[in-house]
Amino acid sequence: MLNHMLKDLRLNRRGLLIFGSFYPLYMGFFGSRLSTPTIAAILGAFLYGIVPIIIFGREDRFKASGFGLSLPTTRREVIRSRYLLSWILMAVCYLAASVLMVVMPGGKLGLSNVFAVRTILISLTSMTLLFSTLMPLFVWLGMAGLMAFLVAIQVLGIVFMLLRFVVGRSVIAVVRALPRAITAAVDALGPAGAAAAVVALLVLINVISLAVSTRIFAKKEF
Amino acid sequence: MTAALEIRNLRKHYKGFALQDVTFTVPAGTIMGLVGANGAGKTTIIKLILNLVRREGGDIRVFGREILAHEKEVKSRIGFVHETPAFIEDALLKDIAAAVAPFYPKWDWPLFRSLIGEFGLPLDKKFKKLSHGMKMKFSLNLALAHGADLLVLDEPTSGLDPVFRRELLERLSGILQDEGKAVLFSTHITSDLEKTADYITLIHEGALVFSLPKDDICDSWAVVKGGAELLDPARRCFFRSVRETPYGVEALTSAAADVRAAFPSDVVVDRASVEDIMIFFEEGAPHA
Repeated sequence: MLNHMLKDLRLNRRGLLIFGSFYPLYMGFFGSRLSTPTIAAILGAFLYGIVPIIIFGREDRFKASGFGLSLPTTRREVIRSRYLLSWILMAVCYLAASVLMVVMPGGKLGLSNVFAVRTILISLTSMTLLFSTLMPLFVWLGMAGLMAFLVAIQVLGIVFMLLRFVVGRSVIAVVRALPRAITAAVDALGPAGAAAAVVALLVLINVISLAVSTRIFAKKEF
Repeated sequence: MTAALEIRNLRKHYKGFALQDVTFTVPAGTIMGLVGANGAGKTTIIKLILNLVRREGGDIRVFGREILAHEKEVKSRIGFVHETPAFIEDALLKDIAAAVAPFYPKWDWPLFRSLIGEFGLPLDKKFKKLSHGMKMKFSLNLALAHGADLLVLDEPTSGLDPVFRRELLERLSGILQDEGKAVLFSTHITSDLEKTADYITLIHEGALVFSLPKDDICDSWAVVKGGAELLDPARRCFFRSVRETPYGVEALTSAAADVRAAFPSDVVVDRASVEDIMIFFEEGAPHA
């Protein structure tokens, strides 16, 4: 697994440097202008989740996947290494951007805001939801999977707007009920228990996503 | 003789194409040429050996180990060269080598560097800057540097100039100085086979026509030229394929000695080249 990660890092050094530095820089600056860390956490997660896909997509673009699989490896190992490397990359981007948000001159967010447990959990949740959906699509369709994901988000937005128009304010009420439910759960479990429950749920989502991707990749032909 | 590669009843189908129960063996210490027209199934067989596509039936063993059960171990003994080598195009050759080397326990850096010098490959150049021939050399270099026991080459000579083609073929023969090694290479350039192959496997429309030592093919396969007597239903059983030309009738047989005995002396029996056999299978009508 380590060999795979080193291979991906070595062969995509330039791409990693470009995207891995631009996105955290951009998010660090943009996030420091915001007064609430939640939006920065959600938007940032979107950018960090794209970084590994762009990197792995290069193999797809150059049709080099066949050679990668001809190396002494198994498909399961390839996918596992990609999940692990993706999370390392996302974590590095997230940490770099978060530090930048704090130290950026004129920034509105303090250390206690950016590195609050709530903000970290929102970031992890956003990254997990994005990445665990995007990665199986990418494994299945390659870079077209990223496009499909972006289109699906747009379509969902339109559907939501139509629903709001047709059904009225009750849709908003349903969406707003979610934070209230979360707050109730946090109250019931206590802050530490709630954080542990969220982390456990995120791990589970990632494991399910990994299992789906592994299954898709096992059937893929090159 | 130990088998470097054993393929038994291999099956795979795509829309409009089916690989039908292909069976052949590449003995250790030999070069096997896998021939067939475009679309015959050569690349599919090679992809199946490397598990790049999923087989629907059959068994593939490399040095006695089933590939799916021992994938990593088996692949570490295979050197693969694709017809169109594909790596991350903007990576430097030295980075590609450094990325590939840790996968192979028997990777030999001194050998790699010596081959780089021999092939005249610039390690500081990007892969995309190489010509097709140079890409092929680099790909072969990677395959040789880890001491592969089985080289699997998919159309390695297509698009190469005659000088490098000869160099490549000589190198393949040189590899077999170590008797434990073997080479399987697919091609539709049949002259390459005449020079190097010990065994030839012919695939036609997904089915195995034969897998034989080259000398046996020379002895038993022949092109028979004559007149209407070749169309005689009682004797058509001698022929694998028959075609009518403006000058008479030509037929392909895999029983040259029997044909010589069965037909009068005015029928010409010429030794069939691999190219003749391929052309007959493509153009001729199978015997009734």
